[in-house]
Amino acid sequence: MMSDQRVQKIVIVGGGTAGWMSAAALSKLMPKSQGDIVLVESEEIGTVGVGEATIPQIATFNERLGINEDEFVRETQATFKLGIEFVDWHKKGTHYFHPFGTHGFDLEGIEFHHFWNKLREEGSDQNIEEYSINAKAAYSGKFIRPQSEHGPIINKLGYAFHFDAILYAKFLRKYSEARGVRRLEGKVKDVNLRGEDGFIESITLSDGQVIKGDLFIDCTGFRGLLIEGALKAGYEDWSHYLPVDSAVAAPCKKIEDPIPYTRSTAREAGWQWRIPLQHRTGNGYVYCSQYQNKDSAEKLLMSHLDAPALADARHLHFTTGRRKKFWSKNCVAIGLSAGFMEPLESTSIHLIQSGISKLIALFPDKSMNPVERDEYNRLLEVGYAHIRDFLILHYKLTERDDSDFWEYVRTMDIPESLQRKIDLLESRGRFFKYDDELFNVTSWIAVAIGQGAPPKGYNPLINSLSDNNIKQSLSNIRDAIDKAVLAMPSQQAFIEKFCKAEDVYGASK
Amino acid sequence: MTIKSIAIIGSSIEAWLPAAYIRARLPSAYKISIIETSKSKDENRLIARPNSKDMHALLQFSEADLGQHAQAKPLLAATINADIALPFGRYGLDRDGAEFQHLWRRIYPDTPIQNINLFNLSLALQKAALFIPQAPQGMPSYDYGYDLSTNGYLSMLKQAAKDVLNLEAKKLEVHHDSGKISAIDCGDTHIQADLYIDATRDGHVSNIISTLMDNWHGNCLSICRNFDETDHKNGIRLYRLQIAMERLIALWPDTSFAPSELNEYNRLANAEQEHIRDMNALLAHDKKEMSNRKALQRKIAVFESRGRIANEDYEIFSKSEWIAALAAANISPASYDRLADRADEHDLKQWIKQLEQAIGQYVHMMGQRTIKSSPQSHGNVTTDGNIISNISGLVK
Repeated sequence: MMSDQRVQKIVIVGGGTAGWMSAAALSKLMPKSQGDIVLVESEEIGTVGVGEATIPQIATFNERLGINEDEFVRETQATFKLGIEFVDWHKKGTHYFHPFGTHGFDLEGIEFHHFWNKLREEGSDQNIEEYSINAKAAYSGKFIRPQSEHGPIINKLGYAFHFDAILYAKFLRKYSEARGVRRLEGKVKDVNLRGEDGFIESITLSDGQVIKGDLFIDCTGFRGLLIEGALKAGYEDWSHYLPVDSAVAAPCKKIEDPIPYTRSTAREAGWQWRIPLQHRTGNGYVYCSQYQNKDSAEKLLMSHLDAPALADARHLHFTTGRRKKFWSKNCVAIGLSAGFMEPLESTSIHLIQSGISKLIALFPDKSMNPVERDEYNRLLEVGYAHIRDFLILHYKLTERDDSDFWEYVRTMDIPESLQRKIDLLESRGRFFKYDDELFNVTSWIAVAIGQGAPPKGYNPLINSLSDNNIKQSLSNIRDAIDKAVLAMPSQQAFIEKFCKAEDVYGASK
Repeated sequence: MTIKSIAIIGSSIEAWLPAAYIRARLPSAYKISIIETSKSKDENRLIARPNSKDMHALLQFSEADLGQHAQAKPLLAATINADIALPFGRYGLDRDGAEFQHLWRRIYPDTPIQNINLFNLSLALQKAALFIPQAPQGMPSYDYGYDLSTNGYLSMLKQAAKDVLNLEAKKLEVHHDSGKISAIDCGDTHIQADLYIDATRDGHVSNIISTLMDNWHGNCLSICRNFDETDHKNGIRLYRLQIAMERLIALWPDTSFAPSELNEYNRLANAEQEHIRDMNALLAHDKKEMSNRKALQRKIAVFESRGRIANEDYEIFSKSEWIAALAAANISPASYDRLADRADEHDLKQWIKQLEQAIGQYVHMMGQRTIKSSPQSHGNVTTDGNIISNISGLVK
């Protein structure tokens, strides 16, 4: 009987964002009546929880779980995120904005940036950000949740969230437990493999409890206790292309109303993030230990906080790359155990989401048919590589040569897949997205232009439109965006009205 | 330097569609020449897939025009042979997050896979020679393409391609230098152009300047060299030309013909060609060819396991078309997606039975109330909204 082969017990090892996101999503897939989901975590083991910034796809995840957005924002001290500001990345003293949503509007079926680039070549000094409602609203501290009645301009506004990852995990724990997920407190002492096929049969906790399962989800973070520790899935090291390998994080008190965007500031051996939440500001410095030591990195971070730190600095060390097999035997690695890329484009939580959705789409039975496992691994490999290339783009296009770190990343060789994209972008701003590729032409163009490498040409077809027509169209778009932004409430006003979180740290004072 | 002149070498719609398309997208200042090669015997009918509507909007071909001048009949599926039709509509309805083929497989694990065709409304309507422009609410949705008269459509394209210099190729002598065409001697005259479009099915012109199988070399773009006879039946003949033009416009070059852009065109065209070959190998049930095609093997394995359709980058064929082709090859899923387990079994069985009955009743009632999509009707079909709502009420 086919039903005999159904996975009836899923064991998730590790809580944190990855563990509880997995538990929440799988509890929708497998109701309590059809099987058991157990999550094992230990309060003694801290979660990394630094992935506090997201990209717009997170809304789909929450929506599928049936989570009310305002409730989620309130419960996780979240703010809205319209994009990322990159400071000093092109060269010192510069900044640019990578917006969610698009630049302008396509005209005559041709992408907007070609028109902007034509005028730029003819001497216009209008920044492309003038045509992005996200950038304009972000710099004005504005936010509104787009509704169909808001019209075409505001409906171009794409948004994600900044949130407290620890609170998000707590929120999802409540959600998951209400749907029958059992949480076990305990540390894993042993991973027990089945003799005949090397599958994970059970885990033994330090108190002697043995937890059996059909499918194991490894959410144990960088160490990959199951996927690597027990199953030796292997790791592909990408530190040649993305050499930062350490991070130091420290929250600080907020000193102003939160801004609706993440800020990434390039520093001597890496970059610093600033993530504004309702109750505090998250900060961290991601750096390359080859060029800067731990103490110096911490000192640098502390000297660039808005206000004194609210907690001691936490240090992390990682190797950028990915697991060679995300799914091995009856174990799927999700989250940091699957791989790690620096949070430059806030992809950590997205990669968790992507792993979960693909696991659900290819959900196995107890036999763990290699067909589904291989397809899962193939799709994840491709997804990771696309993101890797986009991250490398930020470094490769820099003009900074003021430190050994920047000199290295500026001159390093890059993957062929990225070189092909850069060539196309540089030539005439062309970009063809793969179906499953995360970042679209707006993202690639925003970074290329921001890093000082705008396309050298544009689609020659636009020569059929007169310069006056183009100028008038662009001017109209700019005016319409300005008017729309003017009419939007501030993010703080929006939060106050719909989704104000509990006041902690005296944050509102 | 900007491209100002284009020469197209070929015949029939392969030559005239690019002319009409480019004329619609570029100002009249661009000079377009067609060097018509000898006309080989052409198929009488031409299949247009649903996405041809975008192109027809650009060319300002209304449905009424297509009916009047190209004897267009609406098409809900591309018929490959007596046993296989690739539907332009979905199989059944999704429920509880699970796609229909999984729900159906859960209830009917041993039924021949071909029976799933009973749940495809587009196939059912087409089999009954019926056409309703849109599925009623609560029934499996579909889109539609057209079955066109090749000659009629060609006349429309010729009319749309205004101000084209049309030359008969009494001979075809290609002059080239350093991988670029410098001129074409077609007997009475020499044609010089900035961009040459090779619309011959054997890539006659582009083969002269390069032995590589890529579609774009230097100033010569080949748009239909990989033609396969199946392309007539599944609508790929027209689709390929449309996509070639869309891609050319998106990568419109200047006379420097930047290698990065040519390479990108070739990369996309090659990926597209692989998908077409995968489908053609499956439709032909060519076991040797099937076993040599890695992506197709993956698609078959993933489907055989649990009825899922593995997605590749730049897919051409819809999930429904793949299901139909896999079912026709008698490739059956051993199991189904776990999401299908969420519904109560008895309830699900009833729901599937009701859906089957609803589709059957709907087709029957439409057959009595509507004009059949015969060649004479030209697809001018009316529907009765009351009947549709009565039927859709049967479906949960």
